[in-house]
Amino acid sequence: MAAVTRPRTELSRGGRAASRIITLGAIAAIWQYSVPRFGRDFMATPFGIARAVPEVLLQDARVWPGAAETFGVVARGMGFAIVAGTLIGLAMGRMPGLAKAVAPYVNGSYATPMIAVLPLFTLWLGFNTSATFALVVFAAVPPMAVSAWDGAASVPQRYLEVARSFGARRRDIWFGVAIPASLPYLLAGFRLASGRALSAVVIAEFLIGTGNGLGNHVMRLAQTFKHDQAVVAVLILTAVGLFLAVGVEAITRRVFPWFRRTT
Amino acid sequence: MSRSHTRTENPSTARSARRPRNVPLLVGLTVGAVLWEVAGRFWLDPIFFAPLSRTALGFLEMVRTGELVEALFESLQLFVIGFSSGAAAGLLLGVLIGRVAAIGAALEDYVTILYVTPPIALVPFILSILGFGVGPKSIIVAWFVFFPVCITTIEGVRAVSPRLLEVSRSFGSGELRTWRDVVIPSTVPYAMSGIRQGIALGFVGVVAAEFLLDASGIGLLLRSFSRLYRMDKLLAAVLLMTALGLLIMALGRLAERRFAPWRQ
Repeated sequence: MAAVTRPRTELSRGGRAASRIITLGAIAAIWQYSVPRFGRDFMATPFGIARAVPEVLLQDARVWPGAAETFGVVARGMGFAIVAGTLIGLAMGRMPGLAKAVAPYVNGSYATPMIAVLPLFTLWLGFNTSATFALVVFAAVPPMAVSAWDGAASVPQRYLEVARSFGARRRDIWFGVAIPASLPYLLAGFRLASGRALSAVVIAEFLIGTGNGLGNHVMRLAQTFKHDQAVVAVLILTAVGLFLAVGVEAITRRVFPWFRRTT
Repeated sequence: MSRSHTRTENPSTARSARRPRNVPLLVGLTVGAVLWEVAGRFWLDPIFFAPLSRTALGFLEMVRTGELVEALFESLQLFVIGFSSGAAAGLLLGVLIGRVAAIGAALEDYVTILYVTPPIALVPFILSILGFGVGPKSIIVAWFVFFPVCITTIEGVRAVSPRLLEVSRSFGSGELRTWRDVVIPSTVPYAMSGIRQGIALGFVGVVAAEFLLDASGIGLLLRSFSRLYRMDKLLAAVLLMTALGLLIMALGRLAERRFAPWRQ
């Protein structure tokens, strides 16, 4: 986004750092001060959260197994969705007739709030991780498919003509031209899909309630009024969300340097 | 990172919905409908599935008994309260962060950090601090709406062309006129895209809040039908959610075209 400019009154590097530290301090101070006065005594406070960080990360026996379960489901669901969504989307991009026939289903499942289909999945698959997995797939496939569809539909015709006139085989056109050319779209799709997948897993764990995932743990901590600890557990979700939103793109840019030109 | 958010929009959902009705579309829908009916009648356990015909009857029954209208009205109220407060807060904070450098440097990171956290994670805290009621549920809806609106507003305010700002300043316009003629016109398209996302997410927030806090509206419908194994009504309600989601997306696009025709 080249058009984005810095704010009008530019701050120096030091100015930015200083205003960050001052605000952080101010927010923390107001927060710490107001909770015992206006809030409830079990609510999270900055000091409480700071104290809970080592406690939760090092001593809580349920956090890391829970995170492993939760992110394991996300990883499996995303893996499935990346393959299925990309195939659906690329096929739609290359075959306009198919695209029109399938579009209502892709758009429809994209527009349906995932929480609304969870009751169906729990009835069909039981109150267990299969239902969670199904919800992650349901959440992640449509954005992957739509992005791949966009990508495949926007491969410059020139590339395809050149490839064909040099006698490229169908497979080479797919893996040599179509997929690399749609990579920026696939990456945008990945970012959308992974955000939705993360939401899906937490929603499913909140609602199913019987598992041992991170979402279940957050719910349990919050219900037993251990809010400081619950915040720390949520921050693990945040860290993964941040990595999926920013880190993955940074890695892709490093691995595929030509990628920069297309975005 | 906040700068790239509007880019992750999927333009093709817009494109596909605008295509004229035609043969492949009808074929696709017919195949789906037939599969649904046949699977429901002959293959799948009727306790866990209902064919299209029974689902349609279930829908009509919901309409006739009035439970549907009541539920939709209840959910709409929650949506209006939550959406308007979340969008107002998002616009306000977005303008401040985008326009006032000190506030921007201080708060933008926190907004980004909260944005990548699944908004649903707020639910357990609200539940145990505030409990049940319209207030807590509206807070959840507002939380869902706030982030896309805030982040796109920040982008919009920052995307104001510095040249235009300089010109308006050198011709001596005050802050108010600069806002009216330069900043707002260039921010609105960005903010509209955030509001469109906010409408869609607000809908998700309504269903989530009504499902996870005290059940009401369409969340209550979904919950009670699934507990009673009323598959006809449950499938009808899910499909209604799909229809509402598509409708909301279409309305959002309409609003975006109306207020920001140069965006698309």
